[in-house]
Amino acid sequence: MKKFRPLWSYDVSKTEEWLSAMAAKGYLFEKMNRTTRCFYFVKAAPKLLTYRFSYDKLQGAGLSKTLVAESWNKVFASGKWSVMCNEKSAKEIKVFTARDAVMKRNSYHFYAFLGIVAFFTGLLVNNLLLIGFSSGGEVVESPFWIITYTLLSLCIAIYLLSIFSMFKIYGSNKLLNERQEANTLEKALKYKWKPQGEIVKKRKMAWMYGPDKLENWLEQMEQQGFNLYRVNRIGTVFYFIKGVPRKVSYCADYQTLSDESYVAIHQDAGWKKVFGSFGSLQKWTIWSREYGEGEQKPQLYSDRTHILNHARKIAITYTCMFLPAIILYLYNVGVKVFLVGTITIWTSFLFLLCLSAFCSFTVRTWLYYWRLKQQLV
Amino acid sequence: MKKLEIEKVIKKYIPMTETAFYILLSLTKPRHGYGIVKHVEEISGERLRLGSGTVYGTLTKMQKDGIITVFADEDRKTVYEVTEVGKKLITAEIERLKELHENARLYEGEFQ
Repeated sequence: MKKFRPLWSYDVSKTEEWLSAMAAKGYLFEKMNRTTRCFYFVKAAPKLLTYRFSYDKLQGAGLSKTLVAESWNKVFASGKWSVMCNEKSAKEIKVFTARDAVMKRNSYHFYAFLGIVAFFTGLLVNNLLLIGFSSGGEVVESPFWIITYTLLSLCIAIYLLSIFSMFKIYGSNKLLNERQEANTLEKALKYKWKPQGEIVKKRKMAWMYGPDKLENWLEQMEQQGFNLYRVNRIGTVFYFIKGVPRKVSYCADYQTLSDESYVAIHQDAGWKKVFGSFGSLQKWTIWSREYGEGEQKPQLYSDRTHILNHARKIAITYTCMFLPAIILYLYNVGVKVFLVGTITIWTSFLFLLCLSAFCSFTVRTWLYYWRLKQQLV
Repeated sequence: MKKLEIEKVIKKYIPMTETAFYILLSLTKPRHGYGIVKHVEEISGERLRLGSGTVYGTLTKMQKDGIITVFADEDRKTVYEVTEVGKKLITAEIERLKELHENARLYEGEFQ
């Protein structure tokens, strides 16, 4: 039997449950075709089976010994995907395939779809504005209209599919994350607790381009008795409560795409998550950890190579992000302001302002890298 | 294919950094990320206190190179396990260290 399931990979938990339900009905999963998005089943005696998908770039590495010992076996593999099957019920099984890789892959897809949607929306707005402003145009019949309409419907189809996929990925990733966070009580406690006492609110806008300065500032505030208790969602406002001076180590960490095991390892080591940036593509996390008087200050990165690699990653990422804008503004300023001179003084001022902001962000990340390098000699 | 993979990994990792060596050495059995930190602290007599960021970064890189693999335990926590490639790598590194150790013992007297 053949079943079509086009978006199976965006909600693997559901697909796994579906495969189990099919097995219970007497249809055993045999294979799938990733191009046509079809699953093939063979008729057999109904069976209780648990399925898990696994996503791994290295398929040759073989199964983990622990998974094999838990009687998991690989029933199918195609590309980076493989399907694992276990004859026990999910409640009896102690170890499973890891979810991180699937979630990471789907996050990448999410951002690709976001790009597509943004592009089409931009196109649409642009066209609407053009139509709106050009009044009284005459429509000429053309034998090629068919192409226009086919393309239009294709675009609409892609647009809708992208939006639908985004919702699906967002929903399933959030669910997987929540199941993880259910273990940590911290989150529930955080929202119940109401601060009492003198509250100090401070703004720090562009700390991402020199995170070491933010760390030092936060540590000094703690030493003066201002205890950080909250950071707003976008990471620009820091709330302190007047308390006792503490020795706290702060680390602002940047990860391209972070996953659950990232949060788990730091929390186990005693770090507290003070702030995590919204969205997972450009991920900043601020970690804090209190330490005693005679103790050595705890650090997230304990060796020179990792500290510098982290700083270099920040510098390179922001340079790649801002360089296109810098080039664009340089061109704009160069051509329009100095060569043609058709632009008002206000616009040119705005251009220069943007240009200097982008340049300063880029330069500051490299200065940060340089500072660390000097310190660590 | 498999042999080439091992050679590539050996070329990339050997000589191993102290951090990478101790992290891989602690995977005599599957462990959690923080379990590795604790174990390394224990076997190095508290000399090496690895930062969790360093350990996470190293583990991610090793996973990408097929030296270790991961699975999830009952609490859905990630557990790290060494692969066949990883075992070959640590064996090769231990052989190299043995040679170093032998020579160190052999010649240490001459410098005193």
